[in-house]
Amino acid sequence: MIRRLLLLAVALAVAALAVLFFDANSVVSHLGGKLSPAIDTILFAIGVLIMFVSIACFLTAIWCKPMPYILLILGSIVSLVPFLWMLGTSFKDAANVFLDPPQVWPKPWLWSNYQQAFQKLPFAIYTLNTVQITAISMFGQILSCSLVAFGFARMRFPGRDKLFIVLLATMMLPAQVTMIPVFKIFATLGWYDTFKPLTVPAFFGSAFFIFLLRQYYMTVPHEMDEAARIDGASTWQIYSQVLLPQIKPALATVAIFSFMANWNDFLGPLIYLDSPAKRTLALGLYAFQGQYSTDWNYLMAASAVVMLPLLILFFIGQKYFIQGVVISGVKG
Amino acid sequence: MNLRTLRIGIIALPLIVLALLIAGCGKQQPGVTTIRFASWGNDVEEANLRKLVVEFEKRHPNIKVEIQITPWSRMQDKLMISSAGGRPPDVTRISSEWFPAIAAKGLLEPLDDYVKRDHYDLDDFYPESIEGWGKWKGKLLEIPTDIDIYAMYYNKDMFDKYHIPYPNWNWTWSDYLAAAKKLTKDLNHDGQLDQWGTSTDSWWEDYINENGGEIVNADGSKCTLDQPLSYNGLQFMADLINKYHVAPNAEEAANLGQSKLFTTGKIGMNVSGSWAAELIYKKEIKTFKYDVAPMPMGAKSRCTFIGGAAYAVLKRSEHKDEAWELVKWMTGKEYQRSAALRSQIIPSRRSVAESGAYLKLNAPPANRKVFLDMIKYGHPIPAVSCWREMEGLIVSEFDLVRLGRESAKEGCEHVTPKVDQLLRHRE
Amino acid sequence: MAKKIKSKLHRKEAYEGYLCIAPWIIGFLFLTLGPVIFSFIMSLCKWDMIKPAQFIGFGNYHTIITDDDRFRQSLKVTAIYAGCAVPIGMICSLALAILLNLNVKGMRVFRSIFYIPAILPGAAVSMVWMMVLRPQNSGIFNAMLAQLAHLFHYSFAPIPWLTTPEWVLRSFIMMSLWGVGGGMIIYLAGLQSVPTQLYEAAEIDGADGWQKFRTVTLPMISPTLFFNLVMGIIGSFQVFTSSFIMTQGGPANASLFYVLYLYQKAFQYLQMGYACALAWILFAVILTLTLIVFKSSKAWVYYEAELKR
Repeated sequence: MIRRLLLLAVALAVAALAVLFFDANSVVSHLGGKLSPAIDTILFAIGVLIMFVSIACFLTAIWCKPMPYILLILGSIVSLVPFLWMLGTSFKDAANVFLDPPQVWPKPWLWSNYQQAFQKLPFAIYTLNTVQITAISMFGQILSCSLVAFGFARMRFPGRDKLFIVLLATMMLPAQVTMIPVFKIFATLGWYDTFKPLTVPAFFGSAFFIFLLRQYYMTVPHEMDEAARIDGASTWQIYSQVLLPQIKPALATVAIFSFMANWNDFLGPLIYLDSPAKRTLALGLYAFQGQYSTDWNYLMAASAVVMLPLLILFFIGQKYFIQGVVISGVKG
Repeated sequence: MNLRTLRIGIIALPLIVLALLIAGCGKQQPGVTTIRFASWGNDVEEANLRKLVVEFEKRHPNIKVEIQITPWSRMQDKLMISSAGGRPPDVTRISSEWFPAIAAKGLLEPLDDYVKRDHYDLDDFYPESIEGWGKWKGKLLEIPTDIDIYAMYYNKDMFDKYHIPYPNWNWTWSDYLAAAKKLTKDLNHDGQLDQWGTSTDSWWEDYINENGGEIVNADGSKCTLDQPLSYNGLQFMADLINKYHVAPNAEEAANLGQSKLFTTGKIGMNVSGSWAAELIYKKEIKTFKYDVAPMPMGAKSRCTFIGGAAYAVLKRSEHKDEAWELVKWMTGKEYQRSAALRSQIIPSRRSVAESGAYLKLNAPPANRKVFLDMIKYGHPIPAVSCWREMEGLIVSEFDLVRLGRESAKEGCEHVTPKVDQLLRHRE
Repeated sequence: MAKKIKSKLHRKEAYEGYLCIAPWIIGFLFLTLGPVIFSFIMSLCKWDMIKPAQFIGFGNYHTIITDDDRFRQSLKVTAIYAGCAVPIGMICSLALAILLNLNVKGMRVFRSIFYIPAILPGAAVSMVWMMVLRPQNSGIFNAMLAQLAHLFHYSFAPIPWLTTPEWVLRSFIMMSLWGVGGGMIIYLAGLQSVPTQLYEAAEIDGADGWQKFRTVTLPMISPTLFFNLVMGIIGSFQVFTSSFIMTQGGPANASLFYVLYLYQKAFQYLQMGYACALAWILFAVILTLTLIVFKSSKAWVYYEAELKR
């Protein structure tokens, strides 16, 4: 009991210290100085970290059975606020979007916002474009990465391990180093303002997926290969008929992550696509920020629709998401 | 599915995909050239452009025009990236604000020869516009199509309510300040101002220029903001916010924006462009009458921002002749007349501007001749290619001045070395 | 004879192996190695992709290091962001993972709620946050804080999240916390792989909650911590979409992230050579930081395999 009270005291003391760090600017100006925004932000962050210590002491002091639930529920509420607010705004009338204090429940509730949003800009075309790019890329990734990973996992050839290390090394290279020359290459090929720069590279593999699939291949026992070989199967048949079915979960993960990467891609379409008719959904959202004023309720409706496929994908393929993150994280 | 089908499938599928990719490239009708025309615009502007393009296509059956509307803030990027990518539009509408950057990069086709060949009547245009954003280093790179000129809109009803005489050509800064003070009120006595005399949103350059200062020197090699004439002018603007409180500060304005504050009747005077009347005020000002007046006279002169749009042909276009035809059409008398009638856009052609089309429009502001008279006081932005970066730097420094955190002198002294750095590295 | 057949088989296998990895090799040469070399050469030139390139030696690098305020600013902004968002994010995601690991009911629901923000499109997320963080009380965050302050009888001045230099970076850090779900999932897996015998042994030795955490949990998940740290650093140095859409680097360049600056130099001013030089400096910085973390890992990362020697 005394321990708890002690911890409470410590928590309060540390919290007070944290507040000092939060408001460092006013403290310093009382002393006659001035802080640059940079130092201010650093001190603010330190304040946040100190606050964590205080919170930890506080929680340990008042710990009880339902504590995890309370914390998780609080955390969920905070985390859901932006999301729920977006949904709410997407049904509001334009005049009610920015009220002070804000209107919590949309009145009038306008389902028509979604339809209007899609008419303001040709989102149907944008969706088609995004679907096209995503589908082709997914297909290309699965095809090429499964084949290349098969090569690294099952085939023996001189330099295999060294090349694999090179593959791993490319994952460390920031995309920005190659971004400009690659742009020039595609421009020279005449592929600017087409979908090709966004889809063709998928057919040449991506280091991360190759790595993921190779790890997975390694968990498949060799007996199956050997049995098939004895039966006279060619390498291609071993790949396509024996192993490919075995790594279906990993392929599902690659498919999901590839979908995510392409659906969410912003920089790629930003630099390679020009004509309004070729815009993807991400660019469409960006173009929605209007000329002179933005229709936020329509924009939120459009944003919600853009997010929808990912939500659906998550609920269907939850375990593949988790699995993919885990394989890359824990075994990486 | 047996092996054979699988093999065929795996070979066929990429071919199908490839075919789809290739099919994406459009079909061309023989004998018809398609040119791409890039512009910005909201719904209304876009509709107007399309109408004009349809007229053009009727007159030139062998040219088809594909209009590409991009948000204004993305236009400069689009022209740059698409030129680098090898497929820029053929014709573009271009704003005087990014003209130096685009011109310095050599992205535009010189039009002198075309003008001579077709005996194009360049003399009809306001020389201020041609000099301001038509020519670059002696070559004509674009044809101005309209003129944006800034002047002072004011809320007539508010002036009437407090018995203040309307702004006129004799106003100086002190008259301006006096009127603004009379208009600033805390209507519901809650300690917070609800009504302001003026706004300071647009064109801080005017305050500097009217005081006799300049942003850069004559050949654009050095920033001259740290001269007293420059920063004293700016200090007056800052004082409007922080000393006299006749203009809303950043917090007060942030929610609605100063433009909306004016259109909802909370600000008495708002410096804005000739385009604002049609594009914003017509829709949004419903509760009061407004009109326009010249900029007050500063310590040294009367200045205002002048700029506008223009049409240009991109150097990397493959259909320059057809592009030039479109440029001629879009800058022709008919278009300018209809644009003036439809959207109160000030034509760049003197003949159209001074005829009835613009002046006799039956819409507010009634005193629209002010805009035409202000053209000769127009002070364009500095013709340096790094203007956009420069403006960004200066505006963010001046945000601090507006907030009252530093004086105009300090702000100018902070920003001048940074601007010099940019000027050192410009094209 | 056997040897001949064997080597023939070996060659066939090698040939097939190369065929398998051929797509990656081609991609590597044309989309990675070639561009890397090209990029380095371009960083030594002045080039705008329209006029031919001019070789200027290390001129770009010299200008970047000595005469470019925005470079320094962008590096500072990105470093501060990384330095704040990464530790705070790691603590938050670890805390969440620990909470979820306590066998709570409805664990899957919570896991989904926290993970979903991490997979949403950046463009859409940016739009939503722009709405939520509006200054004045019309933004929901300010409104909520105002209500909270009202409860405690504080007067609350609305926070100018994205409109002042002080708060804009804090807003981005806060936004990054919305996506802690990604890290949380990894920690969850790491926590679940800690053998329970260790906890039991610690309890026998009389350890309480905190001590168990310090002596058993932390060392056992240190590889996961290490991975998340490296990934966090690399990721935070590459922030682009949110800053491009929400603030374009403002106000007063307070949110000018490094990659945004690089994009501006490359695609808004067409100074490609300069941008390539910026990219190489970015690579050098990330590499250095990663190496430092790698080197230090010997001191605090504990691999189970090593103990079994």
